[in-house]
Amino acid sequence: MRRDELRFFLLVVPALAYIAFFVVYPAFRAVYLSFVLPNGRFSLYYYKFLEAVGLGEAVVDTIIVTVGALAVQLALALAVASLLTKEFKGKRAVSTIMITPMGVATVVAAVTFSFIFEVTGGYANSILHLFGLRGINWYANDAMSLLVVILSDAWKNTPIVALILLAGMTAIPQDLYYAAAVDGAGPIRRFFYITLPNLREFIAIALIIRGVQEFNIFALPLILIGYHPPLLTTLIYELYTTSFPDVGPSLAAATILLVFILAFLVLILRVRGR
Amino acid sequence: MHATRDKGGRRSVSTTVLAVIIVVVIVAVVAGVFVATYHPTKVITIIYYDDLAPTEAQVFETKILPEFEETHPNVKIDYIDADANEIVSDVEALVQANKREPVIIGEDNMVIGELIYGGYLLNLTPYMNELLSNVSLIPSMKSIVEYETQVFHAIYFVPLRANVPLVFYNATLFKKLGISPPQNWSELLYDAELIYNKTGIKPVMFQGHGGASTATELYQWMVQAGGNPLLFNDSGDVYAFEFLYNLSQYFSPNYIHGYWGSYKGLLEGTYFILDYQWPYIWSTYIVPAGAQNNISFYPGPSGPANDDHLVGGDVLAIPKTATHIQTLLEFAQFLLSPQVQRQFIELLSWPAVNELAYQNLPSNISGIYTALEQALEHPFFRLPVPWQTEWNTLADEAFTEIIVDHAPYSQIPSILSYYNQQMYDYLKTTYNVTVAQEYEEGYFAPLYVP
Amino acid sequence: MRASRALIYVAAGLLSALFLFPLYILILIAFQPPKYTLIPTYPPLVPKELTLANLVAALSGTAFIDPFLKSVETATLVGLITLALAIPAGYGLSRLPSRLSYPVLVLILLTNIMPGVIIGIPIAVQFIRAGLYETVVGLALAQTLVTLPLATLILQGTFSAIPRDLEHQAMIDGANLFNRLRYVLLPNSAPGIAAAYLISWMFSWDEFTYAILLMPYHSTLPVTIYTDITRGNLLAGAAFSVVFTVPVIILTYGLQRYLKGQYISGGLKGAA
Repeated sequence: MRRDELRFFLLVVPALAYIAFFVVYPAFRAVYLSFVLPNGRFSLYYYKFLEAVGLGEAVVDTIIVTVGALAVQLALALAVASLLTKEFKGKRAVSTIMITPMGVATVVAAVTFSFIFEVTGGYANSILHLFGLRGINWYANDAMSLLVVILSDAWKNTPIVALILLAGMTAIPQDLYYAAAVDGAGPIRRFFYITLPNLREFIAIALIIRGVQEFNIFALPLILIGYHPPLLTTLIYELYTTSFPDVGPSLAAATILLVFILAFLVLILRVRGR
Repeated sequence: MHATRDKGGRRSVSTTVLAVIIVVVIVAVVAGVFVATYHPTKVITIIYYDDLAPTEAQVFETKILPEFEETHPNVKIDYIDADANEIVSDVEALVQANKREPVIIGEDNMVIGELIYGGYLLNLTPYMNELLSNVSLIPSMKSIVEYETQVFHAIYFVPLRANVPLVFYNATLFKKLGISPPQNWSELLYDAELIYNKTGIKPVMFQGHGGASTATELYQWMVQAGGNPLLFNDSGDVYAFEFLYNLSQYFSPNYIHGYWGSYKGLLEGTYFILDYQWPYIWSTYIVPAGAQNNISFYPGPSGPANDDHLVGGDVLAIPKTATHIQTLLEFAQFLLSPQVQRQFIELLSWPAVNELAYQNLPSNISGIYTALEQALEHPFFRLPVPWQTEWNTLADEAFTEIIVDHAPYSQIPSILSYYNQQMYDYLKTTYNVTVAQEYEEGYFAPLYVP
Repeated sequence: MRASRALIYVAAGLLSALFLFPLYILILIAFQPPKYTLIPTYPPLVPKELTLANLVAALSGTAFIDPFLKSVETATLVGLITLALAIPAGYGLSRLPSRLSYPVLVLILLTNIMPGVIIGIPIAVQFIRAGLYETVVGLALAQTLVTLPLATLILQGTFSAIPRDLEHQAMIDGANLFNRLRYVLLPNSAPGIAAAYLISWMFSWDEFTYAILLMPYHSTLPVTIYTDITRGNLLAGAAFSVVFTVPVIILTYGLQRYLKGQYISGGLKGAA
């Protein structure tokens, strides 16, 4: 039996080798280089340098975007998934339309939302204008700029979260709902006492998958807000260069990002009780 | 028992065979892709590298390059679009690998130094008479070539085109308010305030997007105040930041997204003064939009210390290992000829380096050339340094702290000193103390050509 | 009862509109002359005049074809490399006991967490030395990082669905691995393999981070769209975006069963 297992394991080895070569090795190298000066000495200098280029702000902004985006996506996805558990005419059409953002490339979504949220000549302001309101400056301050990123990201990624939650919702036995209804519980109570608890596993999965991707969000903020306000990823890119010895600061910022992601994972897994 | 073991042995062999087959299939497909995309030709294919905006590249590929191919039927030109820094790495890789191909590059004058110092370029001195046979270089470019000869005792590049940012403004509005374009910084501040009071709109668009565009614009502002931009905190630099601080109250609210691609607001009336934009937008956006009677341009206000202007632009150079030199030279002559340089002016709003191209310009074009020539009277060039990215990021951060986040005015000098210190520490740690000292003493400074 | 029915339809309509809105705007910009889209302060939300001029102008010359071909080449290669790694891996994992397959799956999924911006930099440096910088092969190798986890998951689920008895039967009947592949495994897993290939293809088509780090200059469509936008060439960017997106949306709608089903069942079987 063990020989069989080994044979099957060997089939997995190419994929693992690929990962070792393209992920593990470069990651270790990146982290290592961030701590080492060109002359070979170990130093925290590049991390110190990051302070001067706005690391603190980038970290705070990244956390805001991650938390905000996850919250919006979760809420919206719960709404969408709940809708799709019901039967109604045109449900198949809605179910298909809902996947549209998955087929739109991130860059294209970013470009489109940059047109929508333009301060003059933007479609969001056109909508406001329709209602007789004046257009607002969507980038008036850092908070609003981050909100634009959060909203655009939510559009692109809610479908995936909704799919995960939908899978969870359809697995909940209907009897639970009937029993609760018989006991006099209204739809809101049924949602909070039956739906949500049974979705815990699925919400956790969605948070893990999407949470990590939120920390990595890059194309959207680069196109929508550029480097102001900074996120960790755009800061890494602003410092990006392929020439030694100036590669240090960029890698230091990248290492910090990696640490955050790992911390996030640990946090979620702990809360989930695995 | 025996049969199973036998089958087991055969099974592992089969698995290995399978793995090998998969690998072979992959390699075959990859090879197939390469073969399919390789175009063998019997003609000479000149490989021309340049760094152009998509609209510029399109004009080049659809109008200019075909003209050469028509008169030289055995030559094809393969235009490769690459960033200025990438062209440097490409040429270095080419020469180091001793790849013998007909290659000619249009390289940013800011980074050509790297290739010269590394010894990667062909010495063009023997060919200069041929190259410049139908060319009369404009004064600033003549100086560059003389500078080259002085410093390197040879000629490694020939100017191809110049690029100077200009200030674009809404001429209709200015006329209505009875003001003319500000000629110095105090007039600029005065006019900005006036326009704001009269129209309620903050009129100035600055390139506050971050990254290279902000850094480049700040660079010129600091030079015009008499400062060495790389230092951050000499008196000229401080003056520039203090002035911008005061001017910023009249910045259009969207300035934090302003960059080289921003021009729309000028056409829409969102703002009225577009500070420092490359002139190509004139013939590629403004004239096609029919706005050439509303929008005008000029070299911009003079700074308190000088009226110097940052000159960008491309130069032609040939890698040391290139083949078919004669054909490459013919191509270079073509690009420098009065007709083609004239097309640069008309189709791309590029300042031509060949004076002969400026004769008898149609009136809607000649205006921009008067502006450009004026700006080119006092040119300076950005000195390329390897730690450019770090400087750009620090400059962006200084800009954010002082202008965007509106730090207290009195703190401006100390804030700039902080960034000076950061740059010094970076150089000391990443390079060595000598480089850091040289930096502090102003050894790295804008390049003036006598 | 009727009130909640109405609520459902309102919600459905609202959500549908929300998901379609940005696509609608993109079409507005790509197919109208700029005086209705880029010039006005409050651009109209209904189409005023349709034109193909933007698309024609943007698509002529090599400005579009080159990046388009780059994207096609890269995506095709990525799909193949992914399959080459994911098919054996998926099959192996499906036949291993869960005490072995589970940690490996988790490891493969974990590679998804690695930010592209971190690995991109050392990979870029290595690629420059190896001559893979700015090449389709290099980029394809890097983008496989993005596609491999999901493809492995899908294929693992696909192969798990093929009963081992079927294979055992074939083995007893004297079939070696090659024949087993031909007659048992491949026919039954073909839909899953096709789905894994197409999804990998789509991911590569969309991919931006590695493309901009490893092939910044003469690049794939996503990066080209980005450079167009940042150089102020907005109309070209919009036109490219539309041409870029329409086939992918059609593909997405066509693949939706796999995107919805396989993603969930494949992913959650192991994790939930």
